[in-house]
Amino acid sequence: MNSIELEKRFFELVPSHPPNAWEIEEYMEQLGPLPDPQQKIILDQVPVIWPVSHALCYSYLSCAGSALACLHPNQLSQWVAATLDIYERDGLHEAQMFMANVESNFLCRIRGEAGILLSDVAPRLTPYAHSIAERKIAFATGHHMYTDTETIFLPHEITLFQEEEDNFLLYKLMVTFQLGLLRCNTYDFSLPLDQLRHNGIEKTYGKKLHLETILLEDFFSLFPEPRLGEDLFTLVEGMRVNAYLAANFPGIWRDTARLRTALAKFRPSLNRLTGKARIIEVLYRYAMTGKPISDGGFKRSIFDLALAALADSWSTPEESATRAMAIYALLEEIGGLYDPVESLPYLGRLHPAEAMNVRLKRREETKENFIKALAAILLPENQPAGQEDSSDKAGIPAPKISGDEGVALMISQQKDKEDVRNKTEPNGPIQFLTVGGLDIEIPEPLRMLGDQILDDLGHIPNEYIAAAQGMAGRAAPTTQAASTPTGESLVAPLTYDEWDFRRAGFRKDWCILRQRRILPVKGTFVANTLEKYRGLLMQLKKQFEMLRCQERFVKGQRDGDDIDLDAVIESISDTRAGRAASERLFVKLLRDERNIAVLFLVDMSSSTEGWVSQALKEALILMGEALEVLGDRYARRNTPGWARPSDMLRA
Amino acid sequence: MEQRLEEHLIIEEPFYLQQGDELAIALAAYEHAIPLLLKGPTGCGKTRFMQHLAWKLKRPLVTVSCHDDLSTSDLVGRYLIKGGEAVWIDGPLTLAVRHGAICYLDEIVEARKDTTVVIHPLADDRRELPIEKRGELLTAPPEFMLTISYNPGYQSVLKDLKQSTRQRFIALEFAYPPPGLETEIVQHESGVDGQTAGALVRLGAMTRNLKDAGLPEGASTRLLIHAGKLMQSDMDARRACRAAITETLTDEPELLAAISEMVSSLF
Ligand SMILES: Nc1ncnc2c1ncn2[C@@H]1O[C@H](COP(=O)(O)OP(=O)(O)OP(=O)(O)O)[C@@H](O)[C@H]1O
Ligand SMILES: [Mg+2]
Repeated sequence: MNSIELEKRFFELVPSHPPNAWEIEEYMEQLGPLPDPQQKIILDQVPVIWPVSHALCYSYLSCAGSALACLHPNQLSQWVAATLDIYERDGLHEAQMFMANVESNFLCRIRGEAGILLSDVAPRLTPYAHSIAERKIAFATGHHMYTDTETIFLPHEITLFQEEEDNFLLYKLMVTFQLGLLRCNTYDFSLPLDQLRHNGIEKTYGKKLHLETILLEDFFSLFPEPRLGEDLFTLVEGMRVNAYLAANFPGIWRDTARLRTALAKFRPSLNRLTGKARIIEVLYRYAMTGKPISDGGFKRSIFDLALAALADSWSTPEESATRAMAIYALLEEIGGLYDPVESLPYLGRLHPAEAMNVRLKRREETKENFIKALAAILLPENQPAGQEDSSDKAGIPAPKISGDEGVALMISQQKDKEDVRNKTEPNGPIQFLTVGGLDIEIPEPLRMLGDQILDDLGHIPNEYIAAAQGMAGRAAPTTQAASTPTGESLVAPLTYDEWDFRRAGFRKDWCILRQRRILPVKGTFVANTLEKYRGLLMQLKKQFEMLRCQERFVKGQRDGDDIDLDAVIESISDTRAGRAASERLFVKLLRDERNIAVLFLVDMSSSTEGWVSQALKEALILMGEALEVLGDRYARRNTPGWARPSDMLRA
Repeated sequence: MEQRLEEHLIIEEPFYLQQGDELAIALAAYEHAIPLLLKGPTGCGKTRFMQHLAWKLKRPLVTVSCHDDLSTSDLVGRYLIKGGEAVWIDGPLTLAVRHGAICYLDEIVEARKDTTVVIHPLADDRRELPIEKRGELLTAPPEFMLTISYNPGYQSVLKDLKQSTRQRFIALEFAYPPPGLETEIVQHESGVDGQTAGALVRLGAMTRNLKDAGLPEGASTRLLIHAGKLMQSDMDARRACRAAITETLTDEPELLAAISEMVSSLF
């Protein structure tokens, strides 16, 4: 199609709100030279974009031709969908940048040769991330690279460099940098208002502030140009992480020096940038390469002042904020509005709101688990006295705790170790739980939960402890009343007590069991579960392996397969010494066999639908898998009754 | 006989940095003649601690590494035939009791259950060692101390220490030393500079975070020292870590790759 035909086709595609012919003329001319099939594919997406944004549609028309040189035609619609997502979330500019990226960043000619997929690198970077973050970190594909503190979002594929190794290294740099943000507590940002006052931002920008402290998501909006504030903070904070990585992970910093310099070459050309954007870009490049740029026609004096503000080292995100504010003030001199430049490829943009959400979610979960764990040790029958892990004061009888006695609880800080070399955080790990003036050593899982809460909130709220006390008090009578069904004859229907997690006790004869036969079904659930818990499974197998019955020789037997030479010699010596000699002179091959049977009943009814049943099923699969190692006989009897299948396991 | 025991006396002070109050507790236990149980992962300094304690108390240290073939006679003693005559030879435990030494039974859970039982009368307040074959009942002098060690981490459930055994002891829990201390130890033992030792300790800590990812035990202080020693022999840092740490920890390809990435990030 020539440009006239293209125009005609365009108008057919957008019956409502058609543009003026001269508005699209330029774009149709760009499409003109493309082969017909490509033109068609490109125009097919117009009805998708046009109603959303005309401006975006124009950008699309100018980028699409070159994008098709990189993208497979089938991927075009995905790419457009992704662009629209970004448009709706981050606005026109971001969406335009995203489109331009296909062209500038994803070097099409090497696609498929040296490119490396996230799914290829994830297996080895997952444990790597875990080891640095000290907790599980997931990877997921995303249009932007960032972390919400639990997941790191990364590009689906990296094809930027010619060598596969370099592309991998870029993934590793991205991951390490995002972990650096976590290690450097970027998202723990909380700026006291006093400090802001001190910096005069309130006066300068006339914002009325009501909060005592400013969190990161609110910080950017303090600036007249929030995006400039954000970019400056991100840049300064990025420099801090740079310094952290260079000091603590010098290996990767050295390995990627070449890469970072190369990445600087993919940046938008300085000549295309003006005003504030130009300085920001120069600073970005400085952050990437560590080398200041000497030419480029930007305001030298401002750049030098900005560099001076970043010269020494600093250690908190709040200090980064102070410095960002200082540079922001410097940039005011330039005037004009800031036209955002692309962020650093391994730093990306910060997503404080998402990080906060994740944090709140985690806080809620930790709270729940903590209350449950604490309630468990406060239960009357769990009180220390004979307990194995009670402290050295086990001799003193512990007071009985119950809800209505209202015993005061207090978690005290670590107090018995005076090791100064161990530089712990101001709070120190909690080690003791004081119940009625008595120290009880806290079991490991509870201690870890407590530490997490301390890390997060700085203290353990009283309401947590009160809730646990309440739960323990409430649960006490039920637990005592519970009894195990013994001596029941095997006539149908069988009844069992059922555990009720809400009251942390058993419900008497609550569940009725009937057996039925089910037909096998196919699915990926088993395979997925095995893949998902690979690490755990390995550990389980190891544990089960240790339980494996072995064949072994035992010495010193009364009868057996062979003579125990050591024993014979010893018996001769004993005889010579005039002592009664042992009669245990044989070696025997012993084969142990386990002689117990275990039956697990698992409730798969609707009351456990959702994550509970998911977790149950996963646990069963893992258990079955681990049991394989044992070599014992076992059977799973998924025999769903009207609501409750059972799972039978025989060892 | 005295001769044999003299060899076990430690003359030079073994290098040992305290992690906490373990020395004070051990000394108090010694004073009250209560035996010690050392728990902790491999290579975290249990043996070194015992050497230091023995030196401090100026008592010989008799160490027995337990294995599943260790019999009561191996510990207590037996008759041997010498020149046609049956001669009684004291086992290491008897030797230590007789001369008021410190007896350290390393990895006690490895020993057979029936063997473990001989230490029972010795480990409670009777402090007696019956030598059945000779019809002799030895009472331990106040200088004698019994110490056992075990690693709760990877022991099989079947090999757990019996309550009746463990409840005779005062338990000292050993963990890998905190970073500052571990750095000092690695630096001193291997001779590397502080910065390298610090990086090795960080690597150790990182590998110890991998429990959930399928690595049952992270790199011990001992491994970090090994890596440091290789580096002292002018070996490339990454190569040294691979040989001393990565490859010793696992055979699992993905974990190997992950640990290699840690190494190349740090060195
Ligand atoms: N606190 C410490 N002070 C000095 N050196 C230490 C300390 N902790 C560990 N080390 C060093 O670590 C090495 C390993 O420690 P050691 O042999 O005592 O371990 P272990 O706990 O007995 O291990 P295993 O259970 O495998 O026998 C020692 O040789 C020593 O160099
Ligand atoms: Mg040892």
